[in-house]
Amino acid sequence: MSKESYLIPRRSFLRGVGAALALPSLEIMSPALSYGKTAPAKKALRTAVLFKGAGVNPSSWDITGATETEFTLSKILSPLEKNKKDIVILRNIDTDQRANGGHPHVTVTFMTGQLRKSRLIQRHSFDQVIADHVGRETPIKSLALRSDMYLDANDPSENFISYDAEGKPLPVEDKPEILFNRLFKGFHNGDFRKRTTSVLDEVKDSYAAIVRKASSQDKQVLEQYLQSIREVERDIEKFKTQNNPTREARLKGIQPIPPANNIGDRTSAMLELMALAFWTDMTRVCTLMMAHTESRSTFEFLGINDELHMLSHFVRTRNRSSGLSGYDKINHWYIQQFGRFIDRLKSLKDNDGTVFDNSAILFGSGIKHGDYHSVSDLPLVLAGGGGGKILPGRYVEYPNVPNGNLHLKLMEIMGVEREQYGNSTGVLTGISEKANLAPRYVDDGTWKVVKETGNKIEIKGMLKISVKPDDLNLYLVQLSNKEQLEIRPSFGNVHNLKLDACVGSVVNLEGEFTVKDGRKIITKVSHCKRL
Amino acid sequence: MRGFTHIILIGGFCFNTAAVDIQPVAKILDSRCLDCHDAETRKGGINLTKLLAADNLNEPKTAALWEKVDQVVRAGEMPPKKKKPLTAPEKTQLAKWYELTYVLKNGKEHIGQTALRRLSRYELINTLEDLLYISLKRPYVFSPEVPALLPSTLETILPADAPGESGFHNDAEQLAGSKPPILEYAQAFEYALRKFAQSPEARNKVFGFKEEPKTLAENAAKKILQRFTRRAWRGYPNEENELVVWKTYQKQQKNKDPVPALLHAMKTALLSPAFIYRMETIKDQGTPYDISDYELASRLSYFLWASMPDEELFTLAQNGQLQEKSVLSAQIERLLNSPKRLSLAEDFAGQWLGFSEIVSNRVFYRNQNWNRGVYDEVLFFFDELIRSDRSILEIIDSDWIYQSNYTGVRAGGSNTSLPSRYEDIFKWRRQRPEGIRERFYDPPRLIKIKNDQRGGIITSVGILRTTSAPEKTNPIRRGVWMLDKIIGRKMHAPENVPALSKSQKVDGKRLVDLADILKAHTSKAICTSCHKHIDPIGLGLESYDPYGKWRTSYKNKRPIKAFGQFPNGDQFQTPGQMKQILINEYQKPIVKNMVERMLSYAIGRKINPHDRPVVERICAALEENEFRMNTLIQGIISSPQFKNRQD
Repeated sequence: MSKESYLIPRRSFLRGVGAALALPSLEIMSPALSYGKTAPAKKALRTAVLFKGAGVNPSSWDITGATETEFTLSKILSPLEKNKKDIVILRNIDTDQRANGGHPHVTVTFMTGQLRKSRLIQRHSFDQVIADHVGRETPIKSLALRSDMYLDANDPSENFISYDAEGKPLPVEDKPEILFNRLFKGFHNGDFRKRTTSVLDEVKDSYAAIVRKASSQDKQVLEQYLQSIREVERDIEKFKTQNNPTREARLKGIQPIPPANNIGDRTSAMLELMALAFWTDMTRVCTLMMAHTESRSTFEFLGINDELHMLSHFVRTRNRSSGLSGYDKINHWYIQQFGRFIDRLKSLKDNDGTVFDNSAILFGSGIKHGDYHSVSDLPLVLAGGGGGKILPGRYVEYPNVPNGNLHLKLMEIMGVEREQYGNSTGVLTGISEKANLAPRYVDDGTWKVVKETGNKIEIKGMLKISVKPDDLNLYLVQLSNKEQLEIRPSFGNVHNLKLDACVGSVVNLEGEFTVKDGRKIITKVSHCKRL
Repeated sequence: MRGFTHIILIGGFCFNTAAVDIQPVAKILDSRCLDCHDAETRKGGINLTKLLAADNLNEPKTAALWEKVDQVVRAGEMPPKKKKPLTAPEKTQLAKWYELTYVLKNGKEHIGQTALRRLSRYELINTLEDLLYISLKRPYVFSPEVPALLPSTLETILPADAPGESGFHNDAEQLAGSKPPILEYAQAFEYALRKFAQSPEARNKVFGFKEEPKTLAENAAKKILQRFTRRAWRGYPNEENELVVWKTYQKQQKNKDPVPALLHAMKTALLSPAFIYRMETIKDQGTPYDISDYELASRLSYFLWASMPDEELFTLAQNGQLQEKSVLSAQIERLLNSPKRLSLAEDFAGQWLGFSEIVSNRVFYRNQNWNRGVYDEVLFFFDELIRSDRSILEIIDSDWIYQSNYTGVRAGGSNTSLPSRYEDIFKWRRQRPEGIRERFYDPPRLIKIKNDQRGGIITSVGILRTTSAPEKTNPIRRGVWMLDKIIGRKMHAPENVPALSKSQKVDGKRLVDLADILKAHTSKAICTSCHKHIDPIGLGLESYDPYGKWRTSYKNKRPIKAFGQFPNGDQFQTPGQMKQILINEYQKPIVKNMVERMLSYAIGRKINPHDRPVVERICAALEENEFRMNTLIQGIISSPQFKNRQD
């Protein structure tokens, strides 16, 4: 035990450590586990998903002019400089195109890849597919957490990213103190387990008495009650059958966490608890909604008083006080938290390397462009060793692939065999090994005006978006002769054609232009196809 | 595992099995609507082509679209003014077809399947308080040690509910869609029972003895538990279930003290689905039928108190008198005169109007007094509507308000104070936890106001604050809030809209006024369809800063231009005039919306097409009775949706 206890880091990265949390006066005692026989140790792999809704400003996120191993981090990603060898930056991974625009849709498709017709039943999210597979190994099957307190009342599905096999959203924990209690107190109190077990037998009898007289629809609702009872029983049973001296030793040194009053503290606290939950092997699958897609949270501790969702629509809110700079600052801060989480997992020794070496952590958003909500080229960073199945330290520009492929790869890393998931077309390659992809687009000299009749024009070239903060509605097509053709389409035009999703690709574009000051300006795009 | 797909259909649309021929109405659509609303043109984003087929009527999307068609046609909004109107027979035919297909079942009114309701967290905590005679809620006190935003212990144990499609936490469908947190229930009940065991008064009420006896006769124990389970399960009869609790007691009691065994048995009773769910006896009948007296008592108390029935309701139920009209009426009055009616303001109005965010959302925190003051202003305003049976239209405008000293906002003119009406609530909820020093707090006062800067809830500091960005007003959010919450016109955030820029130019001229910028920004037809409704209201409220203070100019000295024009041409110069237009011109949708919101809350589900006849009847009754709150509540309670059941 003493050998393990030095592993408990003296100082957590939480701010304001010291004020111990006032827990409800439940009978919470020190862990008193009754373990049975030793089982042969299996490599424990963990998966974490850090969802930060509300997208990014592409020009502050994107890395340009890079190769797989030689890349310079962008403005937002710069906090990961010291973690460059720990991450794989993924480009051109897309989600369901039908999700274009809708706040709830892009939240749901982040981990399901594909939309369903009903708003209340979604697909089995990939973290839960993994949890169904590995969840039996740990006391808690999986955790769904949130550190952004904003909840949308109009569309409940916008508030959840994890969905179980039936497509129901997983109950989400948003209070670090309750999570702490659940992870390290309640279950670990032998008396509480005993009392709960004994009462549950009787509750099952009571359930049977009630359900016998219920209508058929009521029975379906009540069935969940029985299911929940069984889950608690299973969780409790695990304590009897699982022998994990390492966990026991590690649990002894866990200190209460300080109360969290704003989204910053809450995010830090949740990440710390995730790290500890992984380390003590309480669970191996964990998702965290760090920012809601329509978040009304403000970041006073960063000096930003505007709401995140407002800021994320930065094309329209660019003239506000904190505007685009505030939006970038918040995303920068989130990446900082991600970096700290990586460092934290690296500081926690596992039986075999560090917890980080045995984890796969996905950071990302369900949309790319914060204002246009494009669903192509999602901002995604993968971190961790994945038990040797992730080769970090790289930047991979894929030809556009559906995010289902990435989900399948993460499932594979966690030992889940599946051929298809959501919108997948195959398992994503270039994660466990070098991708060695040829540069996606090489200017072969054919980027030029293809046809021009009257005011109609057809061009081939690289589509870009303006990065000038005061001229964000401008698109450009880069031609081989270094010339850049301006496109100033109406908003509906951009939206209907999903023009934003083509940014960064070589496209075939047709439209109408006018001439202003001797320059051709395309004002209406009739067709745009990624080549 | 299985069965979830069925569950979510509960409370959904229920369709007429014998379909009415769709061909005649399809013909009307084809000739009169599809020119603009076909798959190609999709004017206003509406495509009606998919309505022409008879095989997809059950799809929620199709049904919702038909509902919309029915609404705009009946309201005369479509076809638009410049087009030829529909003939009277055409209109009737559309309306009739819709009614037969979506509103009625086999030509008769019905209420849809009654869904099983799990107690929401708010209801559960209230119920535990009443059942165990203890207090579990955050006390209504102010002290440095008890910040207004600190949740109660049970709120830290039990997970919060997410609002359902009805917009409320007590939505049966939403609660059925999320897993019951058994472990948290167990923790919460242990906590509550421990508190109960520590209170001699509470023990006396439940056990009939203050001092713990060494032994307890079997009969006495049985009686205690029978009485307890009858209350805990709110009269739901199930002998087998009672036996389970009794056996628990016997098992625990062997050679031990009786009280711990009683507590253990009580915990079992609380964890029984009969406590967690509001069970009702079923007849397996597809048409509406009367519920039992006990069930009616429960429905009444959960609607008006968000808690279990009290002894008087139980006694009336037991004697079979509750369904008598005069008795029921008297009981409604009694329940509304009890301080527990606060749940209607706290839970119903707090969620509907969103003002509970003032104390629950950190984003709006300024200081304890400010937040509590702002919250209490709205809370007691709504309570006053109930308490004094006022017109529900006073939500829009009134000549009285509750005014707090801490908001920095004063209703202008010389105001006379009226006697405040919250004493009973304070007496009930304002308890001082032991050892805690109370900070002085001056609750808001009921005043008569003389000018039209204030009045109603829509110009209260709480609403103006929650519909603003941190340091700026947001006219769009205010306008959308009003349309959605008050007028009942659900706005969908556009998937993408053109940039709203301060550097916007029109004809080479730079625009500076917010109103002009908005106008330029929303001149496109697809934008106008919503913004013509949103903008006048939002801009009309520009006279109030983000903290609800009256202002005549912006920080940059530019004057506020809070005048505008409604789509029907009505013009206003001040927010007061705007409110009058709302009351006069938007009265019907406002009243209908209020009826639907409160009915939704009362029956725990969203409003469906088959609820239309009842909503219309309540609206008519309100019109005859000066829109009195009591008429609304009585109307809801006497509706089949509320007092009947259908399987």
